Amino acid sequence: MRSLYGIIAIVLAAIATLLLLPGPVDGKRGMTAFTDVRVFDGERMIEQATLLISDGRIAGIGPQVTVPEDATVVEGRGRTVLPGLIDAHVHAYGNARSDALRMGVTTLLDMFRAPTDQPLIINQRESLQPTDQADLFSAGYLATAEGGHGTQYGLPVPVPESPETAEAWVEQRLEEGSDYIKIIIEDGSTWGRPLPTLDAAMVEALVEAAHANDVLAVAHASTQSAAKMAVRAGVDGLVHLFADQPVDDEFIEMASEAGIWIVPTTPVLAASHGQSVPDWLTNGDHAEGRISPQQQTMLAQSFPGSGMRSARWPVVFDNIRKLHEAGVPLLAGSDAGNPGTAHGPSLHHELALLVEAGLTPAEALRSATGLPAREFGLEGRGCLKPGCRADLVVVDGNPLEDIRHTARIAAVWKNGFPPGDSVE
Amino acid sequence: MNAANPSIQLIRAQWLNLLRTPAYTLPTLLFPVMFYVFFGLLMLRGQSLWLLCTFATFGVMGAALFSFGVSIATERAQGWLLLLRASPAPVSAVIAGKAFGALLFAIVIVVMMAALAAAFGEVRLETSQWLGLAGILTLGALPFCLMGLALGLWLSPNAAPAVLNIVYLPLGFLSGLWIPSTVFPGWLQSVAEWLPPYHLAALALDITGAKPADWGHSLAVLGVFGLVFAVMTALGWRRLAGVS
Repeated sequence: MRSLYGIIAIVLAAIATLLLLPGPVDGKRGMTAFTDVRVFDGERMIEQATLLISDGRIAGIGPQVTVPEDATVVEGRGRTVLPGLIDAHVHAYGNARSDALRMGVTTLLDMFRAPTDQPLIINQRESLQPTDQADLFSAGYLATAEGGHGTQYGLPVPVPESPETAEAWVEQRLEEGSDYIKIIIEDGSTWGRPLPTLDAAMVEALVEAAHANDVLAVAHASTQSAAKMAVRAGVDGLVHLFADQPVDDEFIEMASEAGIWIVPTTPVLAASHGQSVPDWLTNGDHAEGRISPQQQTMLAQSFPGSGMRSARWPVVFDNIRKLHEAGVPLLAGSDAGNPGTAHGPSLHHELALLVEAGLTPAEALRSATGLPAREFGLEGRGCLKPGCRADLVVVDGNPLEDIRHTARIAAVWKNGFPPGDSVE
Repeated sequence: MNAANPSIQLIRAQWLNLLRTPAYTLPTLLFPVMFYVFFGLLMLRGQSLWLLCTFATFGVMGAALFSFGVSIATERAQGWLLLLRASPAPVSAVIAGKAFGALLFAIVIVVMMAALAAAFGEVRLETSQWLGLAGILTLGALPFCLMGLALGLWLSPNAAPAVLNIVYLPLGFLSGLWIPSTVFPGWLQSVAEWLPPYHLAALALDITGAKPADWGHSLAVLGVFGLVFAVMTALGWRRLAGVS
């Protein structure tokens, strides 16, 4: 019988080892309650609220919420909790996702990258496991003309050949995992360098194919005439604001009627119009440990020849104000990945620029939370309501009084995990 | 010793066999664990949980295939199986002895990897998830036991190790056990979805919360797979009489 005892001993030892293996630390997956704190829920500010999170999601919010006895309490007086911010225009490569997360940007909408790891990215963003990376949605490869804008970065870009093959091109992107289709309309005129570009028939065919497959079609357009062509073709939104001309009444009418949205990408426009990044962003108390030296270098760069365009800079603000007053939804986006921008800080720059252009701070906050979540159908993101993901930013102060307070980050929580407990 | 229960006797024999041949036992146990340490803990940091599930599947599958396949083929050639067949021990007892060895290997491999993942990969799971992971992978070894058994009954002792290796390693790779199948190109992913180890790993990934799985579908694939090799085993066993 000795050998039977040996077998039983091994099995028992195995089970005992399993029982002794560490579980998630208490409080991490238990309830956490933020008390006496201002909470922006994605649409409006709630004063003196309690915010409960449990299992990576919001479990309760409001002034009346009672705190369960076993919850870990985080005292929040003087602070504001915002939903994890959404940057609606980035190019995510290198450290983009961890850089963004350190500054409270928890969701990135990429507008052109190689789609090789797209399935993995989709798994990661569906997970509620601890992570030090922002979640990513992506257009994958963009649609552009042979030799057109987007082909200059050294990435091989499959080019749609003709309107007849547009549907096949779009389906190929969707097979690679693209979340939406990005279309380039860029003749290079604002850059003083003529570029081949897609024509109206091609754009229309691509938009139609995207819609036939139930995904959004978004367009890069840097001139008013290109923007009009995109709207006529039926795109859902423009991922840049044009600044070649003041917005005219015809465009405003078209945009309102079509119900499109616009990502102004003001930080990249600032960088290409000779504007430098403000000191409060790069040198504030938050900068230490949240903005890396490489990011500081990126923020200090500018586009070649941007000084020559600086005279047009006021047009940017005028256009934002006019479109906003006309009720065209504006989604905050940085175009980070370009000179003069950095993943994370540049979204806070965008919010400050939008307020400077005429949005109220609450409208600016919506442009980086509730609005992009609605337009891109991002479920559980950009909101702090029961069931939403527990992606949140705790900031010192009140962004409704000074929008720059969004950058005064005290803590970033991702998937319900507090900072420092995410993987290294 | 009570001779009335041949299953227990053959399990005991198998246990002594494993204890007395550490040169076989230890490498079989340590090989998949070493793989996990290299790839899951040292190279691809931050993917420890995912790779724990897939490399543990890989280890369990290896233990099942090899402890059955190679030894059965050898014992068949030595005439040991014919002797067993002539003895009062029922077929089920012979298989139980072997299966016991494979399942013991499976549980030890999973527990070792789990301990390493917790210690060095910062993997944290609820107790029920740790137990569930070990449980599903141990039970999940059974269809691979049948595969090993069938191959062992049909292959010659010289061919068995070679054939098992050429089945085992590509099957592990193509099922996404080394590199997550999610980073495969589309066509390769659809290949993975037809392979049984992919489905066992999918169940492990579901239990640990890494990726939700379709339990009905995955269990069905593993069941059909097990059934096919059960039939091949039965046929192989019948054919045994004709082997010298």
